[in-house]
Amino acid sequence: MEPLFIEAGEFTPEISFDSNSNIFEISGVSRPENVMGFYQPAFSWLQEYENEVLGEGLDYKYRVNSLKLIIKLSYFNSASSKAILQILDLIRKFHLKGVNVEIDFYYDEGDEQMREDGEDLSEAIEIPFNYIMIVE
Amino acid sequence: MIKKEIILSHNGDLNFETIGILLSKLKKEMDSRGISVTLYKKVLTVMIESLENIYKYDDLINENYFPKFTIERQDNQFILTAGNPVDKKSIKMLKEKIDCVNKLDKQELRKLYRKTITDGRFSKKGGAGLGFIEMAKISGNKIQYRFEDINKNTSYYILEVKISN
Repeated sequence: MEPLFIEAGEFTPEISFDSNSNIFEISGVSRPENVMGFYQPAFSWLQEYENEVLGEGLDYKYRVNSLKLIIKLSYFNSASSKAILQILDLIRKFHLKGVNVEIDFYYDEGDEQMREDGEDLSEAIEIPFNYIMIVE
Repeated sequence: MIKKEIILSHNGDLNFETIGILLSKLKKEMDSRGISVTLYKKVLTVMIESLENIYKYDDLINENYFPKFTIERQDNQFILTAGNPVDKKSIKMLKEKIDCVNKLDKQELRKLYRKTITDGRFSKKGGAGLGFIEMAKISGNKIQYRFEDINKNTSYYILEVKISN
């Protein structure tokens, strides 16, 4: 599968999903003018990835052992929360099927709000996150 | 008399790009004053949510009443004030949303936030009041608001959020 790469914009994040390394990263800032429109390619790609990984005829465990999602956002508006949650939902499916899923959630040192938002997302999706503080 | 300093001020229509420019201005102003990351991020978040609310609810083009946004600093507190004309039909819903979040403490607000993002039931304009939940959660104070009569169908809606360290 082709990796997904969306370059960062002034108010939109970089999205880098690599089906070779199984590392999926969303970084930068997120306040797209049309949130669902912006994230739609990411949803579609993950859906396609899931179809391949959990495709018929092959035990999925031989395709993907583990995957990692990295969320490294300096800020995101509340409308983006819903989109991020949708991505987490798609990732969660792998977790439920026994794939080892790791989620790294970054926050700037001092940004308690971001840390709490991470905790809220983690609780909403019922998967523990690794919280990583970025020190300037 | 306690000194009040105007950090940022905007009068006039708001579009997506204008919001971007104001956010850059905020960063510059905060950096030049050596404001902590903690406080900056709180103000930034509330600013984004209140500006995007204006942008969402500003469905009236009124020649005499424009959106307005200011950030003032008084001691260690930042006061964000946002105003825009709204259709009177929106008043009830806005009041309900704000009154609701004003009643809740921080833990309850976090619970409501989690519930709202998972529920998926958005209002027609999207957002499901997530913005208000965030504002109340970050502020820790009640969101102040009022509606000033303009004409039969329109009111001027003013929102004020206070943020301290």
